[in-house]
Amino acid sequence: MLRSLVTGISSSPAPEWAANRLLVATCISNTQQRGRRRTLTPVPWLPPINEPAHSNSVPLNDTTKKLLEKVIEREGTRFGEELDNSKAAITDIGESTRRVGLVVRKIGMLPQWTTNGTRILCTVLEVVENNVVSVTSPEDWYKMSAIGKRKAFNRNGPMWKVTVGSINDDPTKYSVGYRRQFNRAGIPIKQKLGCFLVTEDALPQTGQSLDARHFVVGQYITATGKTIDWGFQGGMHRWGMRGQPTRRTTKSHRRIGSVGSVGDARIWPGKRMPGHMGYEWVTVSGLEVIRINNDKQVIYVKGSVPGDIGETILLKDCVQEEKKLKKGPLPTWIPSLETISEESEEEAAAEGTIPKELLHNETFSPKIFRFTSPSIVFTDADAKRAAGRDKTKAKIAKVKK
Amino acid sequence: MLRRSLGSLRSFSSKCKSEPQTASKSSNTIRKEANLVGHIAAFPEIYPDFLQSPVWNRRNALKEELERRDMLERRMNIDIPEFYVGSIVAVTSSDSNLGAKEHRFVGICIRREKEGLHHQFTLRNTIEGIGVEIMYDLYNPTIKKIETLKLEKRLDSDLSYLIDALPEYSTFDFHMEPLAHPAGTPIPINETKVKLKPAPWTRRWEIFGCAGIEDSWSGATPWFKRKLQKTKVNDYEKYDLVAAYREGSTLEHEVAVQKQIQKFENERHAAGLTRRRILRSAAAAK
Repeated sequence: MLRSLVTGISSSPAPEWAANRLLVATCISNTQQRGRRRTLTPVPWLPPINEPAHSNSVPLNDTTKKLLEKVIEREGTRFGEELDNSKAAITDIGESTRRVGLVVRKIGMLPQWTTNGTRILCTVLEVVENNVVSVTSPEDWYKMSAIGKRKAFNRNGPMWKVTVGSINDDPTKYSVGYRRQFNRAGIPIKQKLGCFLVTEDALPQTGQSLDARHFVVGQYITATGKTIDWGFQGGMHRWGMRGQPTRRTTKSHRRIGSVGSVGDARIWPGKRMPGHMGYEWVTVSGLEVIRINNDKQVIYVKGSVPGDIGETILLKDCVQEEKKLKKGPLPTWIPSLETISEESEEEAAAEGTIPKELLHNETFSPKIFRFTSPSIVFTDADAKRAAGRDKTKAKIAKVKK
Repeated sequence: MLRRSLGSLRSFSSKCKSEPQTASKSSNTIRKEANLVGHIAAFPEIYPDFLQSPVWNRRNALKEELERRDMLERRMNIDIPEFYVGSIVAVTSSDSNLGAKEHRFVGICIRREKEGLHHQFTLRNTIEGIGVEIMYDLYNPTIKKIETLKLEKRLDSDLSYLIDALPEYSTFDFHMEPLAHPAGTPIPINETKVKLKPAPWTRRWEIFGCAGIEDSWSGATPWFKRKLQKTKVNDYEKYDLVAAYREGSTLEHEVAVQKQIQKFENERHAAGLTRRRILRSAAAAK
């Protein structure tokens, strides 16, 4: 463990992690068929992420411990170095622009109410210590990996690959290869990684920290994650089949029934059958951001998002034509942009009497009911208008005045 | 970052690998703390909405904290009185499509379920011979007013069986005068035993062992009586200590929540915004 940590720091011109990966990829990739619904084994051509357990069990003496502490401290020294933030601004976002996304954690679901009293079930997502780990140009990406061959130059033009990491972790758990990418960016070691396709005009800088305010309240987002792992399930649960009658049936109440008896009398590939359900990559698009808690870095999204509570989810801007983000922070939100949104804060301060210190710094969609305001009271204007003329009464011509 | 890496180093220096901060406090310290805070013994009954989810997967400290903040903010704007399953409650809620723009319903509370902002309670009454049950979200902002007309408990913590009981057991006067509960006295338990209508029923009440039903066994149909031996009778459940722990609430959580409520109240009182008290108990009042 120790040796690997020290080499990770001292030998800078060590064989490139990425190059290594390409090399192995060319040798082994043919042996395993990837890109299925779910893959339960780790990718063989990437170096192991976790340091093998036995290397941690070696007893360390005091001097070694101190050295290790120093090494770990030095690994994170570049963190917080000044980045060039002159480009960041809240501007109009072009049609072809693609911004980075965030790697978030789903922490639960809560109801919220609109100002007209309808209940909305929201997913609560926490943005935990997001940093840009690396930015790869399309040329490099194309050369480097098989995925890059497919995605770097697509119909939307050249795309940069931006890797975002989230959740700081103990560096001693991870292998040199995994740690090296964070050392290069000068950021702490991250537990979770996610990649986003980004256009050149929205490129963030390596090492930059990403904030929940990267997304604007009211905008639509796309969420990608692994669905709940249900394990091996029958046809009724997995495919919603009807099963068989409860009465006058023995031992077949939940079976799928007759199969492959029409036409060629064989079972075609893809026939819906019992099997492993869930733990697949699923993307849901067009979810509205309703509320953001800036202090706690929590995003409230209307509707549900794939995956169980505690799972990691990738959030990015929605690309549906009508749901695209028109104006927002580009390339990403930075603390100096906060002054721009002062107007809305003043408004909020004027309407509620609660001092700001007692409340979290939050942004709400205007249609969301705030729990700090009194109960909803309706007037005649809120009542539903009748759709047409009252047909039980005679038609009377309107007199023009 | 630095703090993080130092925190991770702690595992090198100390022999114990578990993190003492996350470990549970000893029961003695919790009991002492509870005394200091003035812990309300009936907390889980008075505030079922402040308990944790029985689904352990859904417990998340941050989410619960944010949720509780919203709940407390709402409770500062509306007075949510103490009521139990079996109490008679009146709810006034606003409705945009009514002429009066509001609707008042009086009934017996037959169910209180779910935790946090999801918390729901159901009121039941018989109106013109028809049983009516209305489920309210406790934190729905269209609720204008909640009144407890009669504060009492019944023999069960779920009165769903009233749907199969004779209508007189769930008939309450809409113009009922509220009955004041003398502060500091224990909550009265109404020991009415309900007579059920002849079977068939919506559920097999004879196997639930509800204390508030008078002789459910003789009312059951012969078909189900014959089936009793084949059905799973959940008699053993009262001995399942692990299930009780998983579904029940812990003193540690209750004390933590009570502290948060008190802190919230004190802050608001100090700022001169309100004089409303959220944390109350009719039985423990002096």
